[in-house]
Amino acid sequence: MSLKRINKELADLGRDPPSSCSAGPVGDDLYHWQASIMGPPDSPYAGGVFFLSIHFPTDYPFKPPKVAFTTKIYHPNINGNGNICLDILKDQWSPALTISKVLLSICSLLTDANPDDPLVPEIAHIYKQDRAKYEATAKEWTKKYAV
Amino acid sequence: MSDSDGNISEDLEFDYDDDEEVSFSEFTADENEIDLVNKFEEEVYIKKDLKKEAPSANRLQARAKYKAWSLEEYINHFFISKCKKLQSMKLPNCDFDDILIMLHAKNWGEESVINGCYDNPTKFFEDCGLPLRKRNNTFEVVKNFLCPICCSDDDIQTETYSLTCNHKFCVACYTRYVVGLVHEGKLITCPECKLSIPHGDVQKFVNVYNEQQQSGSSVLNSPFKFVVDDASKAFVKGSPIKTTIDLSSFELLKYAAKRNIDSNPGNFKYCPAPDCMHLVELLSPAKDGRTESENGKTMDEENIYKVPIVTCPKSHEFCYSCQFENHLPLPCWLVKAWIKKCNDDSETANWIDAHTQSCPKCDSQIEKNGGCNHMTCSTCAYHFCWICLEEWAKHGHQYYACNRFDPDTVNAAQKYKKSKRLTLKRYIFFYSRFSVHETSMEGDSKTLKKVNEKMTKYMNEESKRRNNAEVSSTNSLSWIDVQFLHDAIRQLTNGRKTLKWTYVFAFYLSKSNFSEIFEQMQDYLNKTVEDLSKIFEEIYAKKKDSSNLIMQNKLDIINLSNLVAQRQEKMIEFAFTGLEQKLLRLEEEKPESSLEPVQTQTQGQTKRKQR
Repeated sequence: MSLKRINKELADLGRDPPSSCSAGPVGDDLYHWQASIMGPPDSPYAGGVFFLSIHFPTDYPFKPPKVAFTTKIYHPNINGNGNICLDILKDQWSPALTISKVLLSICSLLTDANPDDPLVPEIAHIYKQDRAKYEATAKEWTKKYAV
Repeated sequence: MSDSDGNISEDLEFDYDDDEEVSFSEFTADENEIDLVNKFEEEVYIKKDLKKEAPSANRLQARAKYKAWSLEEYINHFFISKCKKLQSMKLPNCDFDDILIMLHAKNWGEESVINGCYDNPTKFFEDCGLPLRKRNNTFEVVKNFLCPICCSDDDIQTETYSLTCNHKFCVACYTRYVVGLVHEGKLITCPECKLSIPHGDVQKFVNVYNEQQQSGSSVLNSPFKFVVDDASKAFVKGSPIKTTIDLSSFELLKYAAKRNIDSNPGNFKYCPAPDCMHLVELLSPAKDGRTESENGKTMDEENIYKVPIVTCPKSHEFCYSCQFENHLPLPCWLVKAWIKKCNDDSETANWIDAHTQSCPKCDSQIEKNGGCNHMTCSTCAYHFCWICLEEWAKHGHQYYACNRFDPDTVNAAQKYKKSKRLTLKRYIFFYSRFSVHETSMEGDSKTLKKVNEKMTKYMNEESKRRNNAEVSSTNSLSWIDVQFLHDAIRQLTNGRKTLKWTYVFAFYLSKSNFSEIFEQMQDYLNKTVEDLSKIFEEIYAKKKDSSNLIMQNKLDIINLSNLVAQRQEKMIEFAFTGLEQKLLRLEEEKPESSLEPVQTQTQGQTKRKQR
């Protein structure tokens, strides 16, 4: 069942690709994908391309996919291992969501961080206290790791 | 149970002369055959409890005033009746299902529902996931339907369900979706938008799932079950499901009730017996075990030793304070310490220690399986940090370092290790006795069941024979004659249970002249229990004519079970007077004796941190 759905999503992505992201299986294993997101232009991540790994559970879409950044990124809701703190990847997951919707949500998370529910409190602290410093560091990291 | 058992059996004999059935139900309940327990019998039990309460002038045992609730009663009282009340108030544009959803969305607060309905109905309806126009939830069969969830389009005809929003998904996916969420006890919404699925429809899906589980077919293999099935034709035609069925049996409401109790327990506690979903509400807050263990320092000594024993609607007896079996004469805080201690030595406990932490608010064990360190307890919805177990809110607002090193905990760790080595031998001595009695208890219950079966079989044959021949021979027995057996069986189990816990009591007891008296009494109880157990064993071992053996030993059984009751009672009384008058002293293992006994709760956590 999950295979059928994953195939469908793959086909939809090919037919109508979202503007700033792409995704597809890594090898023969349809349950393991790689995705890429372009840094949103109105964010300090602009110009960078960020890679993510996606693992589908066997009971997908009833359980959320496991999505993590493989490119290092400086963000209050994304930690050093690339784990993302995003509600729709946890308890707000719904089987009606798709990978393309998830990637778009991650894009908007890059534009608008959520410092009140941080995964990395240090970055959230800087984000709230000294926005300029945060943006500078994020730009620097983007240049260093994502270009 | 111990103090008044003599009285109970007398009472029962009275009951008994009037009505044979009463005693029979008594008989099955002793065997914990809960499925046989019916309403009538519950009444009998309530009566019995009242009787029991009356003679318990014995203040030591602190028999608590309580009310036993079944989960259904809870749902009816806290959910359904509120809903009916609101319905009778004729809220604008709301039917029963809507009100139920509103109440659920607003955590069963009537006030907020009424206010919401009148203040800003549009926003309130939206909040609760209710459609603004007339509800139109439909089950229908669609041709060539492509379900957005499973994406399978093999079937020419697919059953679908949709809410007013008209987001259609196939019934198989909906079922899986709903069943996956129902245990959270929250309102379930359409997978696509925020509209809530009515409780009745949720139950339909749950029923579908249960049916499929029973028939062993997967959801996908039989998508046409309802269309073929006569009973569910209404289901497909899209008629709104009428909630004529007993609402209190709705799975979602059951989980909602659990959620409600978990997040706001008040004086409610679950019966700890496996698969028992019933509750007990303590009515006398002064004896509330919870406040004892939490504010134990400020409470007087006397209260620390009180053990509130309660009985759930299915007649499972347990200690309200620690939700464990009747563990008299041992006080709750030591039961906790003891269990913790016993579990420390098992592999499972080691694993739990290494891989889980308990929620700082409700003590549920939590395993972190990935993601960030911002944890939300699924039981009490408390937000905390996995690293320092402090409230998460602290982390967000100001910079909060949760990696401070505390030398005190390290010192305590060494002390703890040392104490463990010192007391290990002592512990093993008492533990082996404790566990021997535990296994004996299991063995006893098997033997007793067999004896009971034999007896029932014998009695049934006897009554048949009597009915056929209509001649009552001199050696035929009536149920009244074997009543003593049931009392003895119950007494044996109880005596064994108390005996088991006296060994733990002895483990924590510091040595004095009085402790020797205690040991002496323990010895007596031990001997009597063993004697009684032996008689049952003999009856069990004998293949033929065991009923005659029972009758031959009738006097012995009665005498011994009375003796067990007496000794058990004396034992508990001695233990408690001893504690009250400070003749006996209970303390935890030596290096820790400087700690207040009531700190056992937090102790578990300290231990874990130290490793």
